[in-house]
Amino acid sequence: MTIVDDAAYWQRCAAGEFALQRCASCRTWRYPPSPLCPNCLGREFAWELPSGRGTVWSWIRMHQRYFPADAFDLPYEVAFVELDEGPFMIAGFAAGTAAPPPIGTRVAVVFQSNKRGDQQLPVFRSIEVNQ
Amino acid sequence: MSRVAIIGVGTTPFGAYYKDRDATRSDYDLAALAFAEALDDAGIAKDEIDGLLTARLSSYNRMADMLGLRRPSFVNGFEAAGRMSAVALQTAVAVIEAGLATTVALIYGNNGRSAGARYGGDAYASPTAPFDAAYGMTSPGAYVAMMYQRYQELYQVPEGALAPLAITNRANAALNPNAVMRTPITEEAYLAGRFVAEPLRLFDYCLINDGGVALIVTTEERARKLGRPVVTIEATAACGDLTNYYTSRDFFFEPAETVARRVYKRAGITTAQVDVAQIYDNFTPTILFSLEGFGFAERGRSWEWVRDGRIARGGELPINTSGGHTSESYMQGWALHVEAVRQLRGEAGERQVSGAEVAQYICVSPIVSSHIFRRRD
Ligand SMILES: [Zn+2]
Repeated sequence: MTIVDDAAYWQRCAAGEFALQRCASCRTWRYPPSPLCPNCLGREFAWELPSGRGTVWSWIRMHQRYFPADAFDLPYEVAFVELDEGPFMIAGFAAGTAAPPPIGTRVAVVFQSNKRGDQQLPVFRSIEVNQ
Repeated sequence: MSRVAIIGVGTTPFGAYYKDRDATRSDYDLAALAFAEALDDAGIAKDEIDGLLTARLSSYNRMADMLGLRRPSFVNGFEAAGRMSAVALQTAVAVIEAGLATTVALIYGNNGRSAGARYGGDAYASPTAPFDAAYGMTSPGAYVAMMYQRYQELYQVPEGALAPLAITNRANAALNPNAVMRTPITEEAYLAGRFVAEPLRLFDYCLINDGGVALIVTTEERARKLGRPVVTIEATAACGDLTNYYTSRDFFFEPAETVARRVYKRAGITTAQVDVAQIYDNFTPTILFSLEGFGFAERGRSWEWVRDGRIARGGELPINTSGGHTSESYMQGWALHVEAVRQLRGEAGERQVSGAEVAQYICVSPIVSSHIFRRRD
């Protein structure tokens, strides 16, 4: 049995690589990490590079202080993105995003540091429709 | 057809506990107070209880020992999630119908306010919490806000569309002496409420509190011998929407439609026969999603449907007549079940919906559930 370590995902992020698990049998992508494929229950997988593109499903703006002040400046925005490969992902918008884009906006992954400067996070910026 | 009936209901004070936080207050003690009231309400002896279902309490052993319920024929404990109130009642119905027990006590205790429950932050557990927390995403309210933002954009819903829900709950609570928040609010006050997880505001949020709730259920045949109005469970159904997220991709519409079809068919009614509805409102948008999924309002239009008093006590579909989770107390659906029973028995005092014979409970959540209750004299 393969031991799946969440750290394997974050280690790739630290290297600026957005990689997801993909089933070796049926080729289904999955996120967050899981020991088996939700489609065929297969346990063989590889970390592969998705397109890094997706669509904004929705977003919120958090005003409530749930985490320590050194982690986030209030308020901050959180995105819910449907990746082109299928999985949904909670993420952020890239710094400099003026206002949260409307639902359905096409987005692509870029990496940026968290506020504490101790983690590289995949976040999303808007892309032109034909890009 | 043999039916299952609710013969006893019990609730602790809610308003008084909200004002008086007490770090030593025990969830078991709260549950025990509610149980004693339910037993008294049912008018049966404790040793007639042969089934025990506890909820939110970490040990059914401890609860059973405190209550002297040593040898139940059926026993189980349910996790703290609010969706479990309906699932626990479904379990009791199934247990009684299967003959595994005859008279089941359902007992819930919650000391969340005094214990400082926050439902968010580093201690918040969810399937994706370690990943989502990296982006500051946490708390059930934020995942519901995620749905409501999309709903607003999809259906061009104006700002303040949730106000009638918060205002109606509060107006109902004003008539409920046991409710936490009883001062009526206006649309201006609603809009002046601070954002928590925008687009949701303060008055869209439930009131975390201390309290206990208990229900006692048995066969309709036994219930008839007690000489009280009999409240039966005519139908109950559930359907999961189980993903990593509380955010449902269709606002729970498909599972809600499935559950609606089943409960209305089994109860032999349509939405038109529902006299009063108790709708799980940990956050106000779930009322809209419920009304659409269960066919009261058109998809994308429930925010208009709820205006102009339609959901008020004297309206077409009175909702959350005790004040719901945003004004009575957040008892995770349990107290909404009790309110349904009190309405059908005609025991709701000033907030009574006159002539209520059919009540519906609805919860849209990762386990979408509903029951139809009826008064049978
Ligand atoms: Zn597979």
